[in-house]
Amino acid sequence: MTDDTIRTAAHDPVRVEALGIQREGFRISDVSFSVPRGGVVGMVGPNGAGKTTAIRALLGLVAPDAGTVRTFGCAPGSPEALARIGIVLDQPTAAPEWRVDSIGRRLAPFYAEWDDALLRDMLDRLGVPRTQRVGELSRGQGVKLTLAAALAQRPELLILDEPSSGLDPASRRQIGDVIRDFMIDPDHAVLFSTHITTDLDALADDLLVLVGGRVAYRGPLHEATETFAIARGAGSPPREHVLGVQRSGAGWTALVRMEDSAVFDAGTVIDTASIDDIVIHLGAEHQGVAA
Amino acid sequence: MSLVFARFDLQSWLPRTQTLLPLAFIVVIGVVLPVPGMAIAASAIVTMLLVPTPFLGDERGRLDTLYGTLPVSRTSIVVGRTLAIVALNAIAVIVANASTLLVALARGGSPDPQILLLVNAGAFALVGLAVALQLPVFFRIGYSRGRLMAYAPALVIAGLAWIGQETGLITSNVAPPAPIPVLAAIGFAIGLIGIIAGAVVAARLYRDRELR
Repeated sequence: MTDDTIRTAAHDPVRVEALGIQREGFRISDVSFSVPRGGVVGMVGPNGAGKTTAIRALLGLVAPDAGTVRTFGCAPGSPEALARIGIVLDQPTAAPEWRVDSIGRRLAPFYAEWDDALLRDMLDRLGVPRTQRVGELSRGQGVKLTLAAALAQRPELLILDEPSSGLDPASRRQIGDVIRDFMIDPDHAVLFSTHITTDLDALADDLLVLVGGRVAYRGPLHEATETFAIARGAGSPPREHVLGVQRSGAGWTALVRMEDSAVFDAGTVIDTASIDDIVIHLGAEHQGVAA
Repeated sequence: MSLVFARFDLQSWLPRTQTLLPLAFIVVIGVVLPVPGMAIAASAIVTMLLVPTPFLGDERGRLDTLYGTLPVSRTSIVVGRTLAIVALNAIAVIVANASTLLVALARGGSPDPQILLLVNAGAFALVGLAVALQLPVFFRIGYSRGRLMAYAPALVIAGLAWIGQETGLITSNVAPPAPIPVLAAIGFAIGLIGIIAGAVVAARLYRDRELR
């Protein structure tokens, strides 16, 4: 490793190594990933895969039982790190009776770089009514409010937990546009989790697939669809060279590695795998293992 | 940052009706009950009853999660909230003393300053006791799981009063066991120690709490 790569690694906004969290009925094991400057990492996985828990561990809201978590080289949850992170969780973290136009006045004293003009601009751009109370906002407006407030902090890293879940396509596009604008600065970075894999195609450079609390895939997004393929056939699915199987009627589909696609017989059709295919089949394999 | 958080905290829950109405209740007590010092005692009761209020607001607005993502240490949050509660108590005490004096003036009398000093000290001791009992529990487990603690100060005070009566320490016919300024100093010291102890224990317990 050269000095340059060491320095780059040391300055990664997020570094997670062998993260382990065990709670009643839930476990994350050996999760490692990083978010480099200039990078957008999309985290996907079935419900209960550990996406939200991993994000909460990054923020210091949940304490890891094993492994190392660093944000900007600091312990998770340290004020120094949190001052550089804009956070959008799945629900607005604001009292329902607060008026939207009071958010800036309330939060600004905590952030040295707070930009109230940017907050107002973002609220107008995203169509969040400034005179309403937080409790009167729709889910989409609540997410947009949280995103606007996160950006007004002038963060270097944006962490978003399911920002587009339950939003209409127009709102999802608005949020995607805002994230792309944020990434114009090469020092910025984004980590987001999602159920909607089209968001990944639009935004992410790197993909992190979590299944059953473990990393099922980690790497460049474009390589994921080149690494895996979907095999389709009838009758009983093969047992070897298969990463996950789904049965449908008399047939089956299986996630396989592209390099293994030649081992299947002529009756098996090999197709390109989409991100949805990868997540669904890896999740199906996990459920099968768990059963 | 503790002062910043205290200001933020007061902005969140002080302007609510459920906070302002009890403050008005102090004035009503001062007017309705002619015994000097009753409004001051009411200020302590109001403060004790309002200690859980911000924690209830935290859960309703998911503010616990917000606090966890603010660039502020957990200790600063505990100290800030303690300062906010002390500020609420200061407002209640000002309202209580003002209404006591104004009512006395309106009735053509003037309350005994030593009695007022003693009642204020006693009221502050009760507030310290309430903070010491409630802050650690609410910071550790939140309002929903800890709401029975809202009644703990009243139960402890009732218990102490009963013990005092049974042992003869509390009677209306004996002279004070010490000069009033000394008793007042003890009362203020108990209050101060209670508030500091409550904040210290709460900070230790809140530091490791997982915020979901």
